[in-house]
Amino acid sequence: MKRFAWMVAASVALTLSAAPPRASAQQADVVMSIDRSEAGPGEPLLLEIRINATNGRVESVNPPDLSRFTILGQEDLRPMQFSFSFGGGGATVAQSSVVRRYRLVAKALGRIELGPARVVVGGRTFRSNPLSVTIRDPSQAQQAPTDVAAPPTANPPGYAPPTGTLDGAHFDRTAFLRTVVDKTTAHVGEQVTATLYLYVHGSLGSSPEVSREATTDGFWVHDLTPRDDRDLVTEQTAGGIPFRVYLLKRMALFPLRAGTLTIGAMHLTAQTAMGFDTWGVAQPEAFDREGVAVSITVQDLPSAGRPSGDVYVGNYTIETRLDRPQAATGDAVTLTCVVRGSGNMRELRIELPTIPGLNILAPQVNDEVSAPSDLVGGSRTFEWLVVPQRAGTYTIPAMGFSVFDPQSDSYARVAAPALTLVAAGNPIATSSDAADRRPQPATPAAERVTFGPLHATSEFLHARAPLSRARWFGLALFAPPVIWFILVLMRLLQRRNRANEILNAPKRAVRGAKKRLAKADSLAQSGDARSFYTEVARAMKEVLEARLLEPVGGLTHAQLRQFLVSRGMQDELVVRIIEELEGGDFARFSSTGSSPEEMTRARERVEALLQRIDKFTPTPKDAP
Amino acid sequence: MKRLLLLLGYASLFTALATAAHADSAREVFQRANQAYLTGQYDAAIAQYQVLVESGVADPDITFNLGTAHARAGHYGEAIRWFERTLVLRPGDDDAERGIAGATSLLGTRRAQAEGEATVQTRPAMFESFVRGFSEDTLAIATLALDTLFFAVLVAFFFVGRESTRLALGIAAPLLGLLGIVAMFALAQKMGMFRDGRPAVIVREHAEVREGPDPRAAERAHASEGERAELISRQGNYVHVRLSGRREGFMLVADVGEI
Repeated sequence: MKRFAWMVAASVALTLSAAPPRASAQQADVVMSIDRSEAGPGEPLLLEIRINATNGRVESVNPPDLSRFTILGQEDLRPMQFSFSFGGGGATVAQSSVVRRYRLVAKALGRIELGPARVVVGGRTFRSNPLSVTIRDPSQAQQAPTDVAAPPTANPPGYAPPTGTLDGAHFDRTAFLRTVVDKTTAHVGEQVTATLYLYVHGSLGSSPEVSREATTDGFWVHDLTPRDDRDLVTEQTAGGIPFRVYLLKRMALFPLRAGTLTIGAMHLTAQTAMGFDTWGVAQPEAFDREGVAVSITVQDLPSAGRPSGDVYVGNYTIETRLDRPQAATGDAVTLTCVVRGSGNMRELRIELPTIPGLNILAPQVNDEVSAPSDLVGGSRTFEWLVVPQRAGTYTIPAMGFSVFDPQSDSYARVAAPALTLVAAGNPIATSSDAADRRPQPATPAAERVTFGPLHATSEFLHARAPLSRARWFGLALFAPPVIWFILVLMRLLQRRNRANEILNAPKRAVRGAKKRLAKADSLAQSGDARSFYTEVARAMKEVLEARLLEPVGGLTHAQLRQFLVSRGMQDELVVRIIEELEGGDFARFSSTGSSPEEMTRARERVEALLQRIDKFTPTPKDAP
Repeated sequence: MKRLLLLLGYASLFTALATAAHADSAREVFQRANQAYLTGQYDAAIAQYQVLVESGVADPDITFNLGTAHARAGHYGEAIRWFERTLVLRPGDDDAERGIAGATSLLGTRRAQAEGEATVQTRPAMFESFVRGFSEDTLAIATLALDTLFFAVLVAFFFVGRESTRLALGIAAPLLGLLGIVAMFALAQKMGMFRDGRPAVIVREHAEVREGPDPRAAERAHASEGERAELISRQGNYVHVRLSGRREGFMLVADVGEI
């Protein structure tokens, strides 16, 4: 057996020596990174050298020259180290990762270039990428905001935020809100487009919850937020950090008055998503952020060359038509005026003058607002019903209005040509002029409706608070239910006390009987047999009454016997009770009386009987 | 003690004289207003009645005359407002009811002439019309009486032992309870507990309802003269109002008359 074992060991050793692992050449990726490319003086920086080595042990890590920094701390981490071999004589692969971190503080301002870190793996030296970091003066940092840039591969959609200087935001490495406006100076009525973005490093784990919307006091607002979700997310790099940029809201704002108007800061809470990066799993992080309020300087329309009357801001065209140029008197003709263009359509008003002989009814106004390329506009259609009252040729004057074009900073008049309506037929009667819609003195129709008669006297009553508003009213309303509740409570307590009394009656009777027996003892000692037996009989009857809840004092012995049997008492006990009572009666009225011994025995018997009566539970009176 | 009594006497006399003087002057204004009305000077009559109202007089005869003068002057929205006020002060006043119906009808006629068609609301909601005939004080007293009776019956039911009496009380209690609940709801309706604001009437035809309390704010809707509204708050020259059909916005104070 021993010999066999030696043979097996030798063959295994031979097999292993014949097939040595074919180790590949050492390889290593060395990446050096720093947590930010800019910092203020005294701000700690985190420099990280990460080595992923294959088929070799990391023997040494030589950082770049850090003489311009104070090293606050250093640590080495080995997040991964394992090896595996391919079966059947394949190669053995060993992989390991080493991370070295330095916490640094720059000693001076300015740009610091960091050369590559050198790492020795399995005797070979590998180099990392170089880095640079800028230590800025805080005052200069304020003047030179962080730059944002779109990644070269990204294809920014039309809703992407602008690149260049990061304005309208408080930069934050995890997430921040940004408000972008297309202009900061505008005229009253001129469109300003504002967009609110959320920048998130990584991605959002949940929909942001807006706890406070951006206020837009002093503006008429038209929502431009795209409905297609694909347009809402893009990517940008800010301060050297890649961000996902979420479009939260886009709106066209039309200032309603001159002055400085503010788009308020939005406030929201959200959470980053769980993700994976080169360091492992990134945990979700909840955050709440407040945006930056942005002010818009709003100017009145220039007074130079301003036409009189209403002036609308934008670009408009106007078109008018009659549904037919000729009509009979009394027939309604539709006069349509369509204004198209860009601007705050809802402000547009077109008034028709009074034309004698034409009854022009109030117009119906329909709006179709659209925003192609985010420029709010569309059309506003006015439709009047025009009823000729008498025959003739009527001229509906040119309709139009003044406009101000902010692009060219000039005024213009937009007008449609005058229209002609020919009416034929007999004149028709009318009771009122529709063009005048102000309250009018009583018409003949009003005279037919009776108002009054006028009240000739008055008591000149003064206003007084109604009863229901008086303080006592509420109290008076609540008093009856409160009184009812108290009375009911008292009644219930009373009933409960009575019930307790009934329940405790036997106990009380037994206590009373014991007192009577004690009294009987003293009577027995004094030799007063008559009184003794009277007390004993009373004690028995009281206990019986308490048990049966009925008086038994007026019953004869025969009736008592019958009654006790009817309430379920054992015959033997009934006989003994009756005998004891009869014996007592006999002794009371006997001329010879009883001896003290006899009375003592009678007392003991009665005491035993009382105990048995106390334990007796009578059947209900009506029970069969 | 004598001095005190003397002082009290003087004070009472002074108060009585002041009251009488006030009543006299109020009566003069009232008579002047009536005179102006009877000679067809409706605007002058309105101004006089308005003096009385603004001095704190809340008399249904005066508000009725004011409504009538407005109606004669063609201010139907104002007329409806003051007739409504009369009904608040004296529920069930037939003249005021007729006045409202007449003013509403004339408003409809005028609107139809101007716009080709008109729709006017002539009948209030069912529960409101039920409550309309009772004053707030009447409903308060009824509520209190029914409340007291209901609980008295409950107490009696609890304490009375006689079966026939208990049966009668058992029938009376739910009836009284039901009546009490109806009276309480009616009182709550009258007190405006189911409304967000104070009742008002639009007093100008085609009055603008704006998005904000500013003349440059966009128009959201228009309100018709005589339309009922709820007055929620006031901001400068504008009032925040709620109208039927979920319309809500800001209107000029002058366009809305609180009832």
